[in-house]
Amino acid sequence: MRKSLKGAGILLLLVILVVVPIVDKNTYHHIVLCQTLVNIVVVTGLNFITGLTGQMNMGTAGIMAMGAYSAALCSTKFNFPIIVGFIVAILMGLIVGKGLGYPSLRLKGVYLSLTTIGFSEITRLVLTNWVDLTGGTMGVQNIPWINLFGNKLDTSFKIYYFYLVIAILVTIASYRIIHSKWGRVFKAIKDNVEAVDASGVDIAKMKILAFTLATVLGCFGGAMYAHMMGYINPTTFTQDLSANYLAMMMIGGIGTVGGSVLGAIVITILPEVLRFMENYYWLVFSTIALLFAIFLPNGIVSLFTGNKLLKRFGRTEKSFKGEE
Amino acid sequence: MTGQIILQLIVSGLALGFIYALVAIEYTLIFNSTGLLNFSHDKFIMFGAYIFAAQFLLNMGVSPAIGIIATLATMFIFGVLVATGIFNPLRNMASPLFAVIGTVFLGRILTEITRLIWGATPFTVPGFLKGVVRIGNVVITKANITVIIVSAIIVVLLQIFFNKTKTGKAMRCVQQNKTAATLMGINVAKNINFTIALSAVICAAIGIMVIPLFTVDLTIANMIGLKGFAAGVVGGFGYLPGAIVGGIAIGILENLSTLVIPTLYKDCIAFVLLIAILLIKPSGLLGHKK
Amino acid sequence: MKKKRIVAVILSLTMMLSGAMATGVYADELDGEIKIGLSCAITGNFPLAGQRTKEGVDLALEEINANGGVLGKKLVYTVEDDQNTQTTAVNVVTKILNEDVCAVIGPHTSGNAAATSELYKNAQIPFLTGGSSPKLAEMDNPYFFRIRPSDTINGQVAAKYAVETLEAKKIGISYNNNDFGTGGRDVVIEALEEAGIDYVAVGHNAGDKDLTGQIMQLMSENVDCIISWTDDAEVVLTARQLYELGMDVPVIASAGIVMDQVLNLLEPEYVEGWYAVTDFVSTNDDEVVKGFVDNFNDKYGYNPELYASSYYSATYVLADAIERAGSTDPEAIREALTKTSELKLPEGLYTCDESGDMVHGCVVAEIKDKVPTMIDYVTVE
Repeated sequence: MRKSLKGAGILLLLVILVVVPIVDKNTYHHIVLCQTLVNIVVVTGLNFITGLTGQMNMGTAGIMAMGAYSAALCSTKFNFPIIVGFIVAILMGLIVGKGLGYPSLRLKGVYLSLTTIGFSEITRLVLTNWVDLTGGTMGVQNIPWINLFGNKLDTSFKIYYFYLVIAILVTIASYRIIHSKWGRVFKAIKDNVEAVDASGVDIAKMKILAFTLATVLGCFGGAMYAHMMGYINPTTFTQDLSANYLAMMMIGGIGTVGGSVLGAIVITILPEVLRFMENYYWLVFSTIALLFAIFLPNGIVSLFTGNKLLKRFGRTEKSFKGEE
Repeated sequence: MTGQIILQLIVSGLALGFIYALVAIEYTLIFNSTGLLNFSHDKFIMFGAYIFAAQFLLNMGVSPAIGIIATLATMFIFGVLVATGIFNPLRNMASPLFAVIGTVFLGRILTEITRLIWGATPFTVPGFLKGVVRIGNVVITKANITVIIVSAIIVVLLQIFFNKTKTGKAMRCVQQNKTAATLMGINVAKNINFTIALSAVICAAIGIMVIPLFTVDLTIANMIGLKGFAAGVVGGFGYLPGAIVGGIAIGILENLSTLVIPTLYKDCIAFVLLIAILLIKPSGLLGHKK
Repeated sequence: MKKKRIVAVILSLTMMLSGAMATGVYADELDGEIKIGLSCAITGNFPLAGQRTKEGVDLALEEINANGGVLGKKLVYTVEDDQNTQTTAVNVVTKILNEDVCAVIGPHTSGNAAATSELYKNAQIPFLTGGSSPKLAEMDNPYFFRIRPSDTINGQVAAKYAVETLEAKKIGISYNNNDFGTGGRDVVIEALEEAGIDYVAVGHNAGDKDLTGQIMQLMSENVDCIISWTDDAEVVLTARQLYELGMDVPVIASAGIVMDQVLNLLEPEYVEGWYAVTDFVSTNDDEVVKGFVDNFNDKYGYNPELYASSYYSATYVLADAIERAGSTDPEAIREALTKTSELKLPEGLYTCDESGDMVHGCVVAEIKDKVPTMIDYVTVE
């Protein structure tokens, strides 16, 4: 019964996502929906490392910036085909994943979150100041549209359906990973790291894997962002952005694909919906988000599934301070 | 000439370092007692500065001395309120993530409330703590001297408080083991409320003291908030004297760095130092073991 | 457990309700109106600029409509908050472009103007921005119009003033490392290299709270004049620290310094004798400026500054173009905007050139006891 309900829900969401841009011709709505899809990809990635494995990654902005700049510079400065830009963004994700993954072997909890903040800030400062390569504060302009088998994706309507396919593929893949052996190990690392160690699993390898999944999807999302916007500059990739991604993951529901998707949808669209409140909309949006954090810790997804993935109370001191 | 420049850079770095140090102390207090990082701490500082300058001084026209006392008292009450309504519920959540997001959004709410109440125009308090002291060729502002003295006083008072008073001892007990503390009859929630209120008061003190140095606007504490995090780790995380050492180290090093690297990369120093310390010597410069 | 469910339901209800209410707003279409768009930063890291922009536009619209409107219709706007961030700016500009506007004012900063330029080009709707980076003119967008002097003008005037009037031999350039500061720096450097004058450029990041390192560097290079190209909060810091560290050389500052909201943050001695190259000084005794200052003061109770003046003027430029175009067709308005000529407004004399730049001169002002006084108006070809 519950399973078929879940299937119906997913189908309904899919139908809505496919039909809305056809019925609604407003390009403003299209562009917000495109951003939602980019955010779904990034949050799904973040979910692996922070949601499942429980490692505090607060450097999503820096990761996205690496991907966005890799793709943008490949296609503007070096005139490579766009596909190369995306591949370079993925490679960049692999490198950053290893780079951030290794510290996570030694650092836990807040130490790791501060390290990732440091990484993100340094990335932003370097992008701002390395003018010859990155264009500095004026950013990278005229990033070309994606060309798909001879079709130029030059409106947000066309990009939307391409990105929708990507987002669905990413979502399915991530669902499969979560329900595979990897996914179970990720969760076990968060819940009981000693037990995992005792069972002979290579924790270091698995942590780096989780980090790499997050950074590859983060960089890929950054590349998607760059080609959708046509213009990027460093001021986009701030701590506020990283916090927004964490908020999406949390408000949707930590550790589940459905939660990541719903969170990305709600947090991207809600501020736009609230705009009619004019002077007060940002205050109202922030307040709603705070109330979610306090009163709905299992996320929006728990409203539908009743799934008690996380216990609200009774976390151990240890999981928090990262002391062992 | 060069010698004088280096001396001036060190003195100015020291002055700014003490501000980082106070920020580190303020967030370490909350971390020690709840295990949470308060990501809205820079907004607490901003809020304190606005309450003092915009509300008490400019709107109500009270004298600075009364204004300071009134601001500290207001922020104490504010601290108790957010502790009860936000920190205590968040502390008990299954994942630290909720606390991160909760405090981030608390910060955004504070910014918006401040903008809606007092407006977006930056301002300053004319004449308040303005002026400089010259020792030979080296210059230091009166506001910076105040910061140094006040941070010294705060650290000494905190040490006395934690080691000599009953409440302070109870707070240390809560830091170490909440279950045991409860068994000993300590009211953990109340204890945490007090710690957070204390931290809010220190935030307000920082906010007041930086008014003559920075312009009062909605982003007054963004930069010192981030670098303050770094300062706390560099000195030795969770250890108050370490916060001072870390703050000073960052302040001086980033100023001296301008002698060898382009000034634009000065702001990287704090974060490079943060990551380096975490990877090489996670216990911090002072090497304090908890 | 039950309580949690209830709260959750209330939360989701609020969201649905607000969604429903939001869609209701779009239905608000009235006859006899000409609608323009306005994108400015009401929240975010620079809310003051947005507030002043909106005040300037509000005043202009009020005056225009009191005098019979445009083409006999009421000129109205739809305003959106771009938070001064790129993603939001792109969102709100797309939103505005979907609301049947015939032209748009904003977004303000050069970065966001660059980010949204392509949207305007595709929608074929003209936009008027105050982003002053010289790079904007290179975008080759026929729908781009700049209603403030570009930094090319301010920068050249600053360099010329330093070299010719102040007879500086070595100039220190202190710039903010953002689109505004680096744009100005490049123009100043180009002008100085042309004149063969020695210089040293020292940058700081936006939001920096201590410039001792930068100032010590200028001091050790023995510069005899400083050109400061930076934003409001940073110029305040520069002024205070230059004074405190005892660096006593003439300073020429970029536009923001003459604004009351910046001068109010300073002690008089910090900026005594400073020069400024700027688009607008409220103490200007020009009649057009005076009238504007009086009206603004009557409505809001304080003096206007350059954001208010820029976007007040922009509204008039647009009204003038719509009137001349004789229709609300965006293409006709664009045509009319390119033919804007000798339009006298508080911000200056508006004549459109082929790259969309409309203001070609700037004010040189001197600050005495915190009051900026215009000493010259320089026009650059």
